[in-house]
Amino acid sequence: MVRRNEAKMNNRHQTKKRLSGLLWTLLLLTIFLAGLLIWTVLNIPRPLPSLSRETAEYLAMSGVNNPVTAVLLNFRGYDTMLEVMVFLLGAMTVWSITHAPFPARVANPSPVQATAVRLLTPLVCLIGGYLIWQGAYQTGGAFQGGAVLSAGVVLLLISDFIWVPRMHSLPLRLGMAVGPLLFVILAIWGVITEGSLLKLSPENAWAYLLFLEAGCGISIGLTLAAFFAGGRPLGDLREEPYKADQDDGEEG
Amino acid sequence: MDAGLTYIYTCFDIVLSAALLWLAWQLLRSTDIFKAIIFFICFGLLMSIAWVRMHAPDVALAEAAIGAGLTGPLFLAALRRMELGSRKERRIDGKEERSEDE
Repeated sequence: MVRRNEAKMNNRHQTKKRLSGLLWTLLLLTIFLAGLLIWTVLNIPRPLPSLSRETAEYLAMSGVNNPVTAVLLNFRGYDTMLEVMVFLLGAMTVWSITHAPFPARVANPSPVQATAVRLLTPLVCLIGGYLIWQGAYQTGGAFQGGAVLSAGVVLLLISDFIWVPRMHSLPLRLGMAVGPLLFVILAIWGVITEGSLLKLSPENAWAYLLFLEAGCGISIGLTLAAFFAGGRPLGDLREEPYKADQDDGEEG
Repeated sequence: MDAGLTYIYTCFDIVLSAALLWLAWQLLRSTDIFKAIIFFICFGLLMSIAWVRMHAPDVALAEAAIGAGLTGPLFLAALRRMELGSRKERRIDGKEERSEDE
């Protein structure tokens, strides 16, 4: 009995570690760095050096009314193009590791879960699409709407619907590729019509950016959900969509 | 009136910063990974409010959706896949969850 109490006390003593000397040094260095950053931020010279005046000047030529979207998609469109390609590359990296771990024995979803997902998914599509479209004149845009869409797809993934693992993977792959593809097509179109990469003519820029935002929003949504799924879809393009014994035995 | 509003904004900023710092400290020092992930989700939501206070609503939308809504469940899914291997993964020092008093 005494040994048991002693073991318990030792266990409790071990879980309450004291900060060692090295950790104290690192903590003090971090506090010093934080103080330095606060002092720097408080001493930034006014007026702040920024490009907001030039952005407001050229906003009419960019095809949208929101300065953030104009900078992201038109003035610095090259950076956004590389960013959506990095998304695709990240999804390829995650997919190259393993298959997506769907449970082997799928339990039917409870009525509450099924109803909630069925009610929420169209709403998520509506709100995501509205955020994508609203990026032209208010806060929003492809990334924000795409993130909301990805939350909807994640909701579908974690609900126990039987048809989710059995979906054919070709629409998913096409949807993930449409964002970077539209960017590349627009870049080459800029070379053909205007002579410079990603150069959009001011009178047609609104149409180009609308298509671009829609495509990028869809592809960002599907790519982020593919990150969450954690592996490539069960139906490879060369095989059958889904076989009952195709799981890796990871779920139990 | 304007001085009062600035005073309220300053108090709100101080409380928000203190909450962010406390959440970050708890997130780094908790031995239960599940607890740390929940702290991370709360941190993402408060950070979204901080972005609004810095007059960046687009970043706030993206932070709320991606930081709290996607990275949080991503961590939870990763923890679940880790836990399928061994039950001890949930604690950061690898001990069993029940105290061993055998």
